[in-house]
Amino acid sequence: MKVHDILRVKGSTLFTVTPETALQSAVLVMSDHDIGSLIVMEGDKLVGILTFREVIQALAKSHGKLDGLQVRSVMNEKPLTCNMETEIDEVRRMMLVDHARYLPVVDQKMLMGVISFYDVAKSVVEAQDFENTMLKAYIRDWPEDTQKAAN
Amino acid sequence: MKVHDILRVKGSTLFTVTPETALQSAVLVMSDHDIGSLIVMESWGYIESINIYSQESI
Repeated sequence: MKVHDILRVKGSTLFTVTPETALQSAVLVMSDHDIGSLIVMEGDKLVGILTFREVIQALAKSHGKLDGLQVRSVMNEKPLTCNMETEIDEVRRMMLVDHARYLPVVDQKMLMGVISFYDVAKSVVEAQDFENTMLKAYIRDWPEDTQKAAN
Repeated sequence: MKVHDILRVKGSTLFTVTPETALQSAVLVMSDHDIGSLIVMESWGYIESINIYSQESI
């Protein structure tokens, strides 16, 4: 399984901000959509990522006041990235090594999406369920599952 | 594999706060340790009420 398999299922909704966006507005977008990360774009170039980690750090540092702060001053400027052909196993390793909860997907300098810890966990569960269905169908002892696998 | 297999490897470090903890202090703990959640405990000894306080609540 590769990154593009996850992105295909996930859809292409992608939330971005510019480095000049007020941090307070960025937090509103994250809260409204219940998302843990925003991609920071300058023109069509990826310049960073803002995750709840950076927001929590900013809240801690500025005693809860985000007024006057821009995304640029708190974003992670050097996020690990992957591309459409990266294997999910490799993504898991990258996330664990860097303690990264979100990886931007970049292909030929184009931003294609974001892969989250949640997406990876979900894909693992789905892959296991699929394998179980196929194995049960192979054993041919679960008539209802045999039917499901055939559909 | 069960939960205890993971906890054995992960170790027993657990970050807790009380419901009366100032939110600013809780945020500091989360920031200092780069963690996404804190367990909120009321009274030690046995679990009377337990809540997870995660980044979604901030």
